[in-house]
Amino acid sequence: MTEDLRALLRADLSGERPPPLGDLVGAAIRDGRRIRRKQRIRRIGAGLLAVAAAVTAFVLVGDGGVAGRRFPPTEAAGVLSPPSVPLAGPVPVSTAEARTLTIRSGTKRAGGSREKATSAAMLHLLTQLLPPGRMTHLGVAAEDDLQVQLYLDDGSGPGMVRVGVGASGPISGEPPGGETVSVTIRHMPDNCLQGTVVDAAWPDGTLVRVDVASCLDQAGPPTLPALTVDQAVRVAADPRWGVTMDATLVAAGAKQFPSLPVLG
Amino acid sequence: MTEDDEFAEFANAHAERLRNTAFMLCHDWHLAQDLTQTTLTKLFLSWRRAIQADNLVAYAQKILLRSYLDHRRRRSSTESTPGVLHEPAYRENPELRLTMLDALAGLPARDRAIVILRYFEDYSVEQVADVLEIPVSVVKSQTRRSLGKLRELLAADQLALFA
Repeated sequence: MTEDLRALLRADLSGERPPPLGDLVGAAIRDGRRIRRKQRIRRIGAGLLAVAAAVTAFVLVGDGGVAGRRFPPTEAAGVLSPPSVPLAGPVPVSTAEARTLTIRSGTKRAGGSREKATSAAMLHLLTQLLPPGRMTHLGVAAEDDLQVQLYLDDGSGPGMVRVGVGASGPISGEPPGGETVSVTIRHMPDNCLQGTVVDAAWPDGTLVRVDVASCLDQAGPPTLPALTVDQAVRVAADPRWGVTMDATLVAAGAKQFPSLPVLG
Repeated sequence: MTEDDEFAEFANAHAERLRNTAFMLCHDWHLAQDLTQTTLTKLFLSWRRAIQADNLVAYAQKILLRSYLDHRRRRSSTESTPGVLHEPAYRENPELRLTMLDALAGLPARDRAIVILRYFEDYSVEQVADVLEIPVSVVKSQTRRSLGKLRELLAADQLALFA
């Protein structure tokens, strides 16, 4: 019976006239990217909310980082307490410690006409904000995913920096007025690709994340982070980031980076 | 080549096979198309994990089967028997095909999936058990029961085929 059944099933299919596949794969990829983008934005928002709730009592002004000196990989191992202060009991390694800064930018969010942000504009801005160094491996996320990445080498070896932008709700086209940005700094001991994560949350819902890696590959050796905490905070808190950006930045980005590798 | 490119290459190479399997499960090309797109979207989202699998095609088939079974659970009371809507495959004996489709459609969703995987996809009992995440013994017993049910459902003059 089984051979007959097998033959019947195959003949059943061969007698069909299936409609064309069409752009089935393309549609699946577009859906997947849209879902991935929403998931990323939700993660950024949820992370900021969780961290803000956990550290409400620790709103600090100013940063403990040392300007001009890159923190070593061991610092990116997640211990923010002074070395002389013993840790009270075991700490789950997956739980990143965090501190939040409230920064008065002193400037308004970029004015002028605004356009939908592009990855090229983000890379253009990022290259302006980074300290001097050789920039390589520039890449952008697929489609409208506002995430960019590059390696920065100031002479002590390349380090990876990623910047992502999202929004916790609809953003008005108008640039908001005098701003205070809430910046959260976390060290991720179990993820060297995001050794240090700096999240900046603007009152209008704009969310900016800067990842400073302490390796170039999860399986590879540790590397020096490309930015100090100070530098990462300055990048994240720049008022020009957003899901909409100044039109001149968008134009300059398109001119400087007409095509870029898409990250996987 | 980026991961997206790798996914696109795999998806383009296997989309038709996935859709064929989906069609054999549901006998509705439009639904098969939807199930395949859902499968590929889920595969895209889990691509990094998927490429660690020993058999990527089986991994995709597993997603497809899950999508189909989920769909059946949601719409179990409304699905019609679609065999009568299709062009005859057995031109020399259209009645036979119709009866076969009816018989397959009469099986519960999971049992139909077992039959399709075993006898259309040529999966081993162990592979079917792995894809559906059920014990091998269940696959064997359900296969026996399904074949018995097919015999009952098919017309008496077609039983000779299954002697």
